[in-house]
Amino acid sequence: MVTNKSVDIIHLKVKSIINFLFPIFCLIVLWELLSRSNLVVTFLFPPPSKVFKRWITLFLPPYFIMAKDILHSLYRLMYGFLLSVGIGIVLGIAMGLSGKVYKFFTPILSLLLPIPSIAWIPIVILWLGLGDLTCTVIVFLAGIFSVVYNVSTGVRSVSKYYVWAAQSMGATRLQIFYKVMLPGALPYIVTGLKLAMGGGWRALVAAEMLSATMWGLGYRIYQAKQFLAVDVMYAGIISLALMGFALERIIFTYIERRTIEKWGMVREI
Amino acid sequence: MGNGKGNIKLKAIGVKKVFYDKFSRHNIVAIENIDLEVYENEFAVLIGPSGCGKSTFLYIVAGFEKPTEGQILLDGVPIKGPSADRGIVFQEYVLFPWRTVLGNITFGLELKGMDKKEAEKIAKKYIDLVGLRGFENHYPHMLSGGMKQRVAIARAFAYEPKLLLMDEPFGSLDAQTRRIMIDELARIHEEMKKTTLFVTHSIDEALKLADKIFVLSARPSKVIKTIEIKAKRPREPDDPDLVKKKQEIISILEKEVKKSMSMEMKAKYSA
Repeated sequence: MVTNKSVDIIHLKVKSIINFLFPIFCLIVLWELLSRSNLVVTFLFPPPSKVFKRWITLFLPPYFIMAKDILHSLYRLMYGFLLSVGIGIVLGIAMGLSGKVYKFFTPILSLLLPIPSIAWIPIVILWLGLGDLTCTVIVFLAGIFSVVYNVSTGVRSVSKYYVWAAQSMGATRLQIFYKVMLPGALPYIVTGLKLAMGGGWRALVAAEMLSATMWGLGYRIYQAKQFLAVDVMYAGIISLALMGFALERIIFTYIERRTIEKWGMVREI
Repeated sequence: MGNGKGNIKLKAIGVKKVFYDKFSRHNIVAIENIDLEVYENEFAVLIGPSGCGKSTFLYIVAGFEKPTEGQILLDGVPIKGPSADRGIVFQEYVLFPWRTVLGNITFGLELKGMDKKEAEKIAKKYIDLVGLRGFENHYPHMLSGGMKQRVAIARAFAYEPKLLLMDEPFGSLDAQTRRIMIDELARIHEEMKKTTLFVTHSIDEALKLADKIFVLSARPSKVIKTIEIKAKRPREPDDPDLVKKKQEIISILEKEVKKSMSMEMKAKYSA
């Protein structure tokens, strides 16, 4: 019986993966056919099979170009992301706990929020020069607002009864903070981090196009344009899609399953 | 000690509570004046019509709210705010969803700085007391209402507060579960003899559990009658003494409910 059940589960998983991949597969096949039929300019729309081959060879020795590009992009993303998470959580919690802090920062944030983070790229280049630091700052700007807003809303959403229950068991303010507020606000915090990661990834590519001096997916795509290496540009886009997907979906789905879904704080999908 | 009742554990002196109601922009007197005494090991019940301020009074005892006038003494010491010497069980359980059954019950012990093994040993004792063995590693969302309330009761017992406060703890349970939980709590009280202040609007609950019942008036509330019950637990509902007391409480509460309803109507038409 047990094996039957686990076979069923594997069966379901395979089915859901197929359901997910099938539409993508159709799109690729359509593109391949169009490209080979010469209905479109093959130079601008190379067939996916050719792009994919190029994508693979870019990973290979002796240059490992694509692997290095991905690692550099991830490195810049992580620093910017961690910076926005660190500052965003502290500011968000302060805003969630104190009406005064909330009222002070809300007008400032409301004014900064509508500015796309990539609008800052030229100015940040003047401040910090071309390179990793500028990319990191742009990723930070792209993520900070979603973290701050979600964390402060999350803190305000924690029921006063949780706080009362903890106080009646003798919790100090600090204990209430990390044993009640943080886990209680976690559904919002995870959402904030997810948006910051996604926003950061998108902004990073623009920042790398304008500011990276070597390596990085954005840099690679932009460079390829100068050599009219269209297949390299597409290969870079494939990496962007797959890495972005992995970061947002796989990492956060894993975190959510192990925390807020397991605790019944949000419904399972 | 002379009266055979032991020490006074909880004493309320002239407690008054006035709220400012933002909606009507009026001050509302929720509690007119409550004086009461609860002795050590006693199970005291506050009963009154809904909206009479009995939960407010409990929250003042817990330290979540401050009285406008008067004070409350626990072991002769005025209450200033919430602290670990008073445990509380809420109507809506208020278990931490991110902690397992065991983790909820060890929470208060962890706050004291007790090491994990020791805390779990104590928690297991209370898990047995409330009949939750085998559910230690379940998360609250996997449990039924009655089970959740068992966890909440074990959690309030585990860190050994001097006084247990219960705010209509069985109010959101179905009738059948409620009956079982009342009997369970009566059994637990016989075993633990924890001084308890219990808020309810159910007369049957009060009669099954209480050593002493404080009957509150409609808002603004005050204690209009104190009834003592000597019968041993578990109690039979057809015990003639209990039947008589039930009739007495019913007639008092009926009057109060009518009063509070006519007050509401008046407020409605004068507005």
